[in-house]
Amino acid sequence: MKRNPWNILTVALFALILLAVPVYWLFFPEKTFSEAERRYLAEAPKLSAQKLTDWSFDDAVEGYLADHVPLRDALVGVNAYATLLTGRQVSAEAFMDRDGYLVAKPFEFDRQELHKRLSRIATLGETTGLEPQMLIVPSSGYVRSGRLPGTLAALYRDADVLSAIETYGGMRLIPIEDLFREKGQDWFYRTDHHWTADGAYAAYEAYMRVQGREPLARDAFYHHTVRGYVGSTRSRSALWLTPPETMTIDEPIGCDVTVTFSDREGTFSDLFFYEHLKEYDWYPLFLDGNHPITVIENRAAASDAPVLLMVKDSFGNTLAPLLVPSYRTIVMVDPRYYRQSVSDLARQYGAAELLFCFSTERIATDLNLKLLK
Amino acid sequence: MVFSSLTFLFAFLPIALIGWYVLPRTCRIGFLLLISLVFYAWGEPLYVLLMIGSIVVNWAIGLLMDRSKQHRKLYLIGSVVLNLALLAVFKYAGLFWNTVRGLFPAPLSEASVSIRLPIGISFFTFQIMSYVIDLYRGKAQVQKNPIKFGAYVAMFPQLIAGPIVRYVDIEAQLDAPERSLSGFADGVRQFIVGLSKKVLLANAMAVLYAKLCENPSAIGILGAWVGLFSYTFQIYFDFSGYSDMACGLGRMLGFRFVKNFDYPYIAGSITDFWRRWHISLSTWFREYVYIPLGGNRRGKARQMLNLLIVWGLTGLWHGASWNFVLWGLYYGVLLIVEKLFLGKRIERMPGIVRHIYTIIVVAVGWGIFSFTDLSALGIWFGALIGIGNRCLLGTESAAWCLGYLPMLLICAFASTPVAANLVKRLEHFRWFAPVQLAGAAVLFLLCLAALASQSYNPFIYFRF
Repeated sequence: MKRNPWNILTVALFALILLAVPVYWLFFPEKTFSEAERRYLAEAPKLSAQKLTDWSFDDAVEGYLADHVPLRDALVGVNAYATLLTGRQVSAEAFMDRDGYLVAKPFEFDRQELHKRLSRIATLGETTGLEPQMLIVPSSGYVRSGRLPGTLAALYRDADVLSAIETYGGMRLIPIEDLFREKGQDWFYRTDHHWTADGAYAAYEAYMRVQGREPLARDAFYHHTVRGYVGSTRSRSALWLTPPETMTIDEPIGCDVTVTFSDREGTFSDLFFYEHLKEYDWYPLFLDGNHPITVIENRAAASDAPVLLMVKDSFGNTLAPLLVPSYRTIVMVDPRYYRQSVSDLARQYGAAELLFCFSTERIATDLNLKLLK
Repeated sequence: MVFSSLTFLFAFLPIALIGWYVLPRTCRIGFLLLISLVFYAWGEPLYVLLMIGSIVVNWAIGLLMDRSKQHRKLYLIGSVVLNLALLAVFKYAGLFWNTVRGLFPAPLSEASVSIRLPIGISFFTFQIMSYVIDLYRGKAQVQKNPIKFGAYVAMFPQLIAGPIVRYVDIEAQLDAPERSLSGFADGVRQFIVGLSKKVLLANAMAVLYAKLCENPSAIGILGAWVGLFSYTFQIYFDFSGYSDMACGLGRMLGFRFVKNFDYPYIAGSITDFWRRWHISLSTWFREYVYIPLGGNRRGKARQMLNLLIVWGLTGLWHGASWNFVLWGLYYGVLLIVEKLFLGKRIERMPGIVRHIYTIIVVAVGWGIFSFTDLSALGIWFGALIGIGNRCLLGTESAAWCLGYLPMLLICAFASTPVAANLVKRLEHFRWFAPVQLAGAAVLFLLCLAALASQSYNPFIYFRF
């Protein structure tokens, strides 16, 4: 009987795939780090009687094999696009909107927990005698919700967070929500949850006006650009076809800065740390990323220029360079890494302003903010 | 080990297939038994001894029964009691004890029974019983070779989730598996279809169902119904996908197993549904319980009682929890009602009405099936009719239901034989073979992509 060539091809192809994967596992060097996922891949699990009987060995082997499957990034990308094309974005880590922007999925929060954090912030305002200025950055998904497919927009609860802050008392919310909703569609990276230089500048401008001071014009900064930026939202989404983008850096003119970190030796005379462009994550370019305490001194500032205490997450790292010309000293505190008294710091540096610069997600969900003192 | 895992696909299966096709004919069945035991031991390193014990004892009983003229019935009873006792101890002891403790809480409150269920025990025990009973009835020949008998019971494709292969159906194949290229290719295609059902459809429905189950009081009436149907699809594609994979693997090895599902969701009545759902189980209960109880030969009243017994047991077979018994009796009553008067009326109704009636009854049945906690079941059924759940569709559930609408429609389509019929009609065109191969390759790629993504867990430095 003549054999059907397509049956031969079906069997051959199936056998080839079935054999190629174990051959790859056995004979190719094991990858230890995934650039796409920015994490170390699983190591081969070690067998033990305990693991065998409680099924954890089976799970560990499966996780290990999945981590080391050949063409893993491509396969994960195929799955991400299959999820996108079948409309199931709602179950993904990041959504792609109609303009191709990747936005992080909405966060969930508990209103009572938020109130506990706000209570800490209000108390800090009382102990320092400084009214906390709340510069809270809405998420890109919320700002761009008009461009999201289906009813995904309804899942973003940034407005609830912002109104809770506005009505809480003992603090002042810098009004940037409407500004971002109306004009800020492009103020976020396509591949990252952070604001761009434009977004940071808009927030800077709003902050300065609320403080009753004239902000510097955008031209008062040098604009540097670096091409090829790929942010963390793209890693979360695995939508690899989203192209890299350009990052703009606004550098203040005529400042004489020294930057010191509480957890890094040395004094630096630059606000931007370009060595991070060699890494997977470029965002630490701004002020070397997050440190417990970062102190920026501007010796060119007017002698009566105030001292600013900024409690912040990474959004503050792009805002701070814009504020440098207007302050003698900016003390930045990241409560995720700094557990001691913030009010002591305010006293120590003679702070005249207390600014909280956070994303809505962090202010609503970060447990560290409950430890503020 | 499950078929829809990288461990199975790229470690176990290549070894199994190479061994099966490379080893000399005389050692193949032995190899199949050995590798099947490894397959089982991967998930059940201790209980594999229980299964081996059960195989050896029942094989020996088979031999004794074959040699004995007078004590055949005694051996049969011994084997059935032993097998049911295994099920009673390892599957139902916890349920029994908890129920007794619930009835007499005072003296028994401290004691508890905790025996983990050995995987697949319900399947392999029923297979073993089919052999012993058919041997007693003279329908099957004695299997003198313990390796062959072991291979029949433990054969990895059907070991842990069926189909329940009766010994008489595979007796001849054990001696001479039908090995052919076209059979292997058919097996590959069937396996990929089954894998796709499980990985692409059932798993997607599982995500939707789990999300909607998180907070039934906030999902809205429509959300509750979508949840019910997502579970209805999940269980079908999960189970029938597994059966397809089993049959496909069987074909690759040269065995033909009975068809276990025949598009149950296009059924026009509940009677019809049960002719199409888990056919090997229904056949087993009909052959070894319903007919021995007298079936429909002892009058209407006895038939109704027999149906209730069979369906109560069918429910209990599915799990050691009272909701499964409730689910079984639900079908028992429905089948009785259809037999007594509804069946003829349904037949006269338009097709669309019959299908809607069936699918709603079946979906509600899955609701009973899915909740082992009866109070959670009550909350869900309340949500279906708007008790404790007043809106039509909650905000979050709207986003989920809308997002999953394309998958729900794909599942609805895949529940019908339209695609399979199309394939049959196009099969004789020459251009169709490459299209079919490309389709299978794309499905396999999508399955691998989904499996590789299960550990995708980007560590995003917390630089918010």
